[in-house]
Amino acid sequence: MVEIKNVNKWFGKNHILKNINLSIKKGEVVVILGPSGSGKSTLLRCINFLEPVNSGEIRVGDDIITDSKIDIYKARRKIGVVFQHFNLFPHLSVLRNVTIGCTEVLRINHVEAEKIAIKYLERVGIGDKIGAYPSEISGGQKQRVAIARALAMHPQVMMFDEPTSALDPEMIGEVLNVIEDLAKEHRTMIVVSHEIGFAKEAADRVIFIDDGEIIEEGTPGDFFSNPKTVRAKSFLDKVL
Amino acid sequence: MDVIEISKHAIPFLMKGLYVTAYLSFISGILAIIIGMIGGICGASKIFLLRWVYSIYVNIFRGTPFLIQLYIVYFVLPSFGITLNVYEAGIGTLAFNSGAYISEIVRAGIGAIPKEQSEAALSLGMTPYLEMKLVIFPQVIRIIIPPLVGQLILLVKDTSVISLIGVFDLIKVGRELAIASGENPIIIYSLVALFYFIICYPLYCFSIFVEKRVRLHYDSL
Repeated sequence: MVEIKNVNKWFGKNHILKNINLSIKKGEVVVILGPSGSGKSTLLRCINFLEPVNSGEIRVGDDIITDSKIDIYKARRKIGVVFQHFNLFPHLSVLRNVTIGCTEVLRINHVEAEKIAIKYLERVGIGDKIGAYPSEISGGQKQRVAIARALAMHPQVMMFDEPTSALDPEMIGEVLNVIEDLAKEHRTMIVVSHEIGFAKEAADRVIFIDDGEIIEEGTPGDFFSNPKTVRAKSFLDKVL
Repeated sequence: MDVIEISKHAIPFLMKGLYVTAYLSFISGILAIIIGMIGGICGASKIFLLRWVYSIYVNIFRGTPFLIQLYIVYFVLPSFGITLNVYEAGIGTLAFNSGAYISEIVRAGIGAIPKEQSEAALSLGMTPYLEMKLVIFPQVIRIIIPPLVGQLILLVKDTSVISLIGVFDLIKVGRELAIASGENPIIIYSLVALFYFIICYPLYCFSIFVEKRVRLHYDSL
């Protein structure tokens, strides 16, 4: 579903992504771990072309994202993104935050779009807040709205960029539960997270990135109990 | 002399001036907002040429007095074959003058929207046009209303300068009454000031009202 081949990315002289190769199957849940500044988030941003790559190829479904001839705006519809800071639209109600992509981008009529939105908002447990504005709900609720907003586009791939890092501790659980439920449905998901418990529970595969390189990958069972590299060991020592 | 008597006599004349001032303000205000929106988008654009043209425009109009701009448009342009009547010259110059200030307000407003908003919009598959229309601009409007209204209040008062090329607006009517007709200038000019205030104060109230109602919260700040 997602194919990343020999991807390199520089910011000025900083080599952020070093020859990344990664293949993610349909229905696979991949958790990316790594110290901050290791390039995890940049990799996600390259996958939906918020950041252009310097070399290499990224394919999502049938779309070659890195092809200059591609209609990137159309390709992005198939990639749902949940951000660390939620990034809800503050001038729109919860319901409108979720329907806006359906009505304006997918051109679904409002009645239908509201049905879809309410379905997903109920799914993430905020069916009672549809009229509220983002400033009126908690961080955990906002992040769940952001998840519903991405799901409503029926993406082929869902990407989560540290979805719980900006949350108060007591709200992390409610968001992780939603993401875990999604993982159980065998959606294709890429999750950048520091939540080791979540990775153990939900991931089919764990990727460990450090300094722009994929250092190690494996099943959560293998990776957490028996990391092969020194760098992965020392990272796990710090976070566990 | 009786204040009420003088007022009774002067107010019908001043109302005609008020109408002209309101007309000048309304038309040039609408045009200035349109120019300012287009200008602000150019100023915030990624395209160098647009930013360059924008900066020349803003600097010329903000760097010279409005009165000089008005004189050039009304008295100098005819020698290049462009002859405008007092209304066209006054409204046009004021619209471009205020438009320059509003452009800067709009440009700064666009800059104040966190880039995460743009990323969220693009990630939903929005084109830059949809992003601007649905996500960025609605937020910019909310942010810029107080400074924008402030600029419009200045515009209302700046219409008085147009009287210097011969438009019979509020201040010109007042001056005629005080000087030519020999009415008591204290009463007349006080009435003129009051009439300007009557236009400007509701604008201010509107701005305060909007400011209280639409406050945006960003999580990433």
